[in-house]
Amino acid sequence: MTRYAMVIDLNTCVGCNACMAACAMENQTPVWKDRWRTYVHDKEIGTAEEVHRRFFPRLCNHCDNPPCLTVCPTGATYQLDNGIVLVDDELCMGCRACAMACPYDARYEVTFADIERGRDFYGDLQRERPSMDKCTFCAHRLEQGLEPACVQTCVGSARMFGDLHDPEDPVARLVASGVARPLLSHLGTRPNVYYIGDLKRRG
Amino acid sequence: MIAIDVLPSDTAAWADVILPNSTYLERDEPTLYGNGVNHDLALTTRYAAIDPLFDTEEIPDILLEMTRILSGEPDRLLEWVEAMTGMPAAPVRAAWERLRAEGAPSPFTHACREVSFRLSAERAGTTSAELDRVLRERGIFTEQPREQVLEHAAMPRRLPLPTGSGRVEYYSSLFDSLRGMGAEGPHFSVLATHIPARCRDNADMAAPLGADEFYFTYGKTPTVSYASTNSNNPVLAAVNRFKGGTYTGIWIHPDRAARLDIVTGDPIRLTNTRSGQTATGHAYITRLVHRDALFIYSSFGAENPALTRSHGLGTATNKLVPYRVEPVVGGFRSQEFTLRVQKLDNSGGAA
Repeated sequence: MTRYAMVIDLNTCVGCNACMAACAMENQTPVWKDRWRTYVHDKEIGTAEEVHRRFFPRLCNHCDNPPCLTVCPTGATYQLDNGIVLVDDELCMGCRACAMACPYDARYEVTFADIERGRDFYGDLQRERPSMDKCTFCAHRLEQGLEPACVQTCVGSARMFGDLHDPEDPVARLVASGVARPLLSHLGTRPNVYYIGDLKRRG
Repeated sequence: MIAIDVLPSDTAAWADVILPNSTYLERDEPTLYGNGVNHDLALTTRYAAIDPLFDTEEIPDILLEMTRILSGEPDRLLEWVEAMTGMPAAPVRAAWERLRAEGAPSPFTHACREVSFRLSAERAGTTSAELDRVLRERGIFTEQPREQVLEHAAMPRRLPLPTGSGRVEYYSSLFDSLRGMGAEGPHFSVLATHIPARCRDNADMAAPLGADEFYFTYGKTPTVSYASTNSNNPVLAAVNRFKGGTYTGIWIHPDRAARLDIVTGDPIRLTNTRSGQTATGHAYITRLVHRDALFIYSSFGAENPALTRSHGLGTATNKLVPYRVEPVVGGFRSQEFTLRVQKLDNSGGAA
């Protein structure tokens, strides 16, 4: 069975934000109120004179043990066998429990007002109901044999997408090698987004 | 004043006549060109993604019509295009007259494109139709992979240096010819010459900066194109807002900012110590900038309210850079000055 995962190489992310723009257009997210399914932090890191600029892409981690799913009182948040965590907007009542539970800050609210604004902003809006929205790994594109929009548009090939259960998949190999590591793994969420840290400075 | 633009830019606000230009999404480029930094010898070009939404025109057709209005001799433009780019005037003229008779849109642009395709295809030993098919399918047409290019063009083993003697030369025959045409001064020296940097009228570079004085540097954001033709794009404008002060603030090192009692978000005024030009903006305190320099992204600072999503955001570098032109390449000497920083109160006065 396929187990989708993403590896993000922080060494080759150039901070161009093309992923943010591509995702916004593909998934019609409410960017007018600064809500994104994926976003790129732009941070200075280091101490004293050893300061570097670090671009750091973020998105839903599609956890094997997703806290947003376990706290969802209506069953709106659910998980596919391939690991993708989705929201059924017919069942979501907008209680925001998922947003509070998610340690990756990956859930945000889409309201009726956003839907009205979205029709004007994007034209032909695909969504009709509000919900606590999130990244879907572009499940609708995967069904068509396409990569997630953020992966396809990435100019630095920093974002790689693949199947953890296929030992020949480059993504599975990077994860198995230990070079790509998840965020906040000590929380027990078992995330499926992995990061290759700064190899140059780590030595 | 005439402006050719795709947006109601700050320049367009001053124009007596605006000639609306098609955007890059609506444009078939007039020529084929090399594929940038890739070492393969390959061709690419741009295809229109959509038909023009409005009654806009391509730049080559605008220039041709302006040539006709100004001189009554549109052929002069074709001759200059041939002289400057090598695009032969005669076949371009024939294609232009045919396309114009057929009522084709932007006939001059498409005539240039047609001839460019024909010449490129002949050189590559293929047909225009095949070249078009490959470009539509793959985006690039590879004439020679880099391994083959290096076989005959690698320097210095295969190809001598591109100098008159084919060897390393410390004498510039190009600059010598420019001097012969009247160019003067140390910038046109025929030998490598050191020209001391000078950022202040009354102090050399070794003299310490004042407590409120900084050198100036700037850069580009990936969200705003070189000519700001996408500065009113709603999604890219949202990315700029997400980035906040990192993109639209004036970068100051915390050690220097502390001495001026400035924190991130404070309104500040910058004054050019040489030209007296001023601009305002908001401070962004970061260790990513040198203690002696300010940094600004040059993508912002538009003032035309018709740019509904970008006007009033950030600081315009062109309000700080004086009209002083570097004589060799004709670019602005955009960093040969210092700036004084003054903290403002919320009403815009000195704090």
